[in-house]
Amino acid sequence: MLTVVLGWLAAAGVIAGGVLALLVAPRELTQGNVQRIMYLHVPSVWVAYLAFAVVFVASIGYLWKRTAAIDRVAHSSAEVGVIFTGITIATGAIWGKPTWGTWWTWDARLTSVAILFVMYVGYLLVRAMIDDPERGARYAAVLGIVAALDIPLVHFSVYWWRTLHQPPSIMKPGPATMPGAILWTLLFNFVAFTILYLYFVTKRARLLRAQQEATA
Amino acid sequence: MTADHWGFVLAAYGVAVVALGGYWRRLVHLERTLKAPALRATGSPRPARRPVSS
Repeated sequence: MLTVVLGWLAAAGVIAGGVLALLVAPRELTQGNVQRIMYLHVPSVWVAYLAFAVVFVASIGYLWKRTAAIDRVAHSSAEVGVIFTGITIATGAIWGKPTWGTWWTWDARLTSVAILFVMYVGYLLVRAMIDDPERGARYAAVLGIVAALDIPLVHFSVYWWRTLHQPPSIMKPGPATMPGAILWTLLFNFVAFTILYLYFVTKRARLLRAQQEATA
Repeated sequence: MTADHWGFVLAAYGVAVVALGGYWRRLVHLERTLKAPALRATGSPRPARRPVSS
C-alpha cells in the first residue's frame, strides 16, 4: 500500500516538476533555456547523495546487527543511487557542451563524481558476483562504508580545488542565491525526486525480500 | 542574448525519462516474474520437438 501511494505521488510530482521546469519557470538571463537542465541535474545529485548516505548508514547497521532487512535497504539504495548518479553525469555533460564548450573535463568535481559512480557500480558487481549471499552482503557493506568517503570529496571539491564547475547555489550554508521562481521550481523537484527515490527503494527492497524468500 | 539550446534541454530530459522509465520497467518485470512461482518452479513447457524429415 505504501509503495503504491509513493508511486502515484512520485509520478504526479515528477510530471508536475517537469512541467514547472520546462514551461513555467522563467528563462534564465545569462544561460538561457539550457539552465532548465539544472532542475534535473541538481535534484539528481541530491538523491545520489541521499542514496549513498543511506547505503553508508545501512552498511554500518548491517555489520553491527547482521539483519537481512537492513542489507536489502543498502542494496536497493545503492542501485537507485547509481541510476541517479548516471543521470547527474549525463545531464551535466549535456549542459556542459553549450555552456562550457565541452561535454567533459577532468576537473575535481566531475572526476570525483565519476569515481563515485564507478565505486557504486563496483558495489553492485560485488553483490552480483559472490554466490554466498551473507558473504556478498558483508563485503558490500565494507565497500558501502569506504565508498561513502567520496561523498564529501565530491561536494567540497569545488572549494578545495580550482574547478570549472561552479560552487553550489543551493546545497550550502546560508540563503540561496537565486530568484524565487527558479528556487521554488528547484525545491519542488527536490521533493519530487526524493519521493521517487523512496518509491524505488521501497519497491526494490520488497522485491529483494520476495526473491530471497523464493530462493530460500 | 544567449542561444536557446532547446535541443540540449530536451536531450537531458529524454535521458532522464529513459533511465528512470527503464529502471521502473525492470522493477515491474521482476515483480511479474516473482508473481508467477508455478512457472518458475516447473519451467515453461517446451514445445514438442518436430521430427526432422529427410
